Amino acid sequence: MRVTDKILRTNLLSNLAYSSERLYNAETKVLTNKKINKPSDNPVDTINALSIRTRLEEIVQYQRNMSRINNLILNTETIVSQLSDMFQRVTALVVQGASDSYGPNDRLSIANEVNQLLEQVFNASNTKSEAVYIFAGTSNDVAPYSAIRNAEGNITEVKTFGSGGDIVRVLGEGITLKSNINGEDLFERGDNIFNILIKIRDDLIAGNSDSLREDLNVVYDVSEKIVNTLAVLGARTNRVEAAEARALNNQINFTEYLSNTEDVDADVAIMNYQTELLALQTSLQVGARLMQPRLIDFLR
Amino acid sequence: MSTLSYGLNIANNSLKTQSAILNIISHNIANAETPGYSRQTVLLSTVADESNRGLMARKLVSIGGGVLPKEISRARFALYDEIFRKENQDLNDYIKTEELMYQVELLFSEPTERGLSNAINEFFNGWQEVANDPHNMAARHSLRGFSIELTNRFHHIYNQLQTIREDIDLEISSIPDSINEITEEIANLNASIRIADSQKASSNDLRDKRDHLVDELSEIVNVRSVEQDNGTYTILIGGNVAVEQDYFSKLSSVTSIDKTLNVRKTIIISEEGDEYVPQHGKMGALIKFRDNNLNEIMNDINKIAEAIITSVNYEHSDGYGMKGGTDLNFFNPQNKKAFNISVSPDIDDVSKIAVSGDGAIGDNSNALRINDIRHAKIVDQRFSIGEYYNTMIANIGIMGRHAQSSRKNEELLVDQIDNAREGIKGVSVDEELVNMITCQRIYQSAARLVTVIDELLESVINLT
Repeated sequence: MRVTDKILRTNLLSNLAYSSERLYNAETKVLTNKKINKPSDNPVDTINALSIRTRLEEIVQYQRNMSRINNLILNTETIVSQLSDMFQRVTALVVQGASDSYGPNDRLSIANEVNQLLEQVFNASNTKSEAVYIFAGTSNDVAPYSAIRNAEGNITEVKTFGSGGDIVRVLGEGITLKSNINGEDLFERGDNIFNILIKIRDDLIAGNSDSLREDLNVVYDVSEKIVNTLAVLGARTNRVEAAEARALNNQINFTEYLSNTEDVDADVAIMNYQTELLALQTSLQVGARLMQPRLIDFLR
Repeated sequence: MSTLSYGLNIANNSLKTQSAILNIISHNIANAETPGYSRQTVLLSTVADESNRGLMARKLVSIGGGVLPKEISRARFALYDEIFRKENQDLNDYIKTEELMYQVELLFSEPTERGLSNAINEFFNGWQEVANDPHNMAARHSLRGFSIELTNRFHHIYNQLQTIREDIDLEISSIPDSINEITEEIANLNASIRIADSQKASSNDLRDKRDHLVDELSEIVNVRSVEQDNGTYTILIGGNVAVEQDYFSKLSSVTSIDKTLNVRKTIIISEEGDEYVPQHGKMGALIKFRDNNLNEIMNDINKIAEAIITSVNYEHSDGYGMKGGTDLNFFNPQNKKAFNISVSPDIDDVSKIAVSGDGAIGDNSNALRINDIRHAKIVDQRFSIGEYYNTMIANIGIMGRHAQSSRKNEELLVDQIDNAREGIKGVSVDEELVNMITCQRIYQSAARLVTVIDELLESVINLT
């Protein structure tokens, strides 16, 4: 092939352009520390990176959701276990009150204690956590229960403003969890907790042992319901913990996967950069020599 | 007839020829870097001694009359030109496509936190945050903030795509002028070459100029040139005759409004009113990119926006706000495209965001239903928003990558062909210098001959 100066020069120029382009790419990787800086760098890895990023952002949100649920469950659990303690005491008191060895005065003082427990249960039923009444179901901006009191200030009836409804939270894609224990289930369904306490108190005042013995069965039922509720809460805590562990595991895996997909191996990137730099320098050096000798230089 | 003066005549021819060669060498060196220039050489031929023809018959020695330039030829191989132009069309097509794809890729800012994907994630996470805490006004405000940011990203992307489109239209509308300029000049050159050829004058430089113009034209459109018997080029652009003899067809651009996409559209028409849809070259790339790739991307973005607007509104209007109101839209239902998606003024009061499914204030079922949209197959009933968007980005990536690799390959090819062409037509200064020295020596020798003959003549004259 006949080689002219122009061919040598265009050859050199296009090779320099290639080297520069490769050097630029290598440099971008070193500087941004990313393998993918635009979709065309690697279309498949780009959508992988996009999906992983989406997954990670979802996981972070799920984790936030779960920490909120944990709070709620913890608060509910505290109250329900207090209720459980209270009903152990109620059981003991009813057993005492039902026995014939106690006189009316003794029963009256027991009735007093039951009344106090009723007040405590009533307060517990209106527990507020993070601006929300936890037993109010979905209508949780207002206190779910209100007491009607007689002249002595004793509760004669507890009215509800609606305490039903489940609050569902998202633990993961397609995984939801009922997060609240609503008052309807806990206080009202089956044996109404308030009513039984009121009845026990009144039965104690009236000294009605037979009725108290019947009450005892109801108290057992209520206690069982409360314990079951605690078990439900425990199971929920377990589910949340399992989901949290899974989320954390996923987060670690996906973060690593994202890093593998997106990030450059610094050593390799710098090595590549050096190689490209060397290649460009070599081209430049060769080019500088190539351009020099000419016949005119040797003619006198 | 061998006389001393005959020798002078030969020397004279020689001097004339060598100066012609020297002039051509000079011309070559001067134009070594001129684009499109082809190396010229002087074809020599001996001068037969016409007056001595009779001697031949008498078997006497015939002495030639020296040398004279016969023709000045240019080194050119038409097939290489044709191949070069064909590949050059593709190269410029890919260069332009790559450039445009690069712009599109950049405006999507993927994969980063600044992309649309991120805004969509934040939007749905905002709904979960509201679901965690339906009472929390701050969560509602932040959801509205995320929604506005989402609409802004849509606007930003769409506006940028539209700007690219408008730039393409502008570039397309400037193309007829540059084509006309070239075709007009080719038509003029056709005329000059025809005249020069008919007068047996050298048309080499005119032809170089014309070939270079066709090269330039091949950057813009798919072009073919056919040389006619009288030396003129007939230029075909995409099958239409653009230049014939001294005539060229004048192109112009027409802009109309494309109602479906709410954009302007520029097309190129010939004098006869035919639309030019070139397949290759810069212009082919522009039109292909605008009418296929860019349209598709804009449609996709609109589709995603529309899917989000429709699905979110559908669920939202079923739910209840904090004060019980229902049947409200979250996004403005009149604006269903990426360029005008907007948060409905109905929820300027964020307490009206319908989180509740049944009116109870602590209920979050509606927010959860809206959150579920993120994974629902709502685009074409086949893809989730994320899947559709990711596929779109992947397609952009693949198109961009294809344009890059095609450009690189084509560049190599064009370089090779151009080098092959240059190997024939290019000026090698070293070569010219060698020729120059040869020429110089011959000239000196011829001049020397004149001196010798002069001396001889002088001695003859002095004899008398």
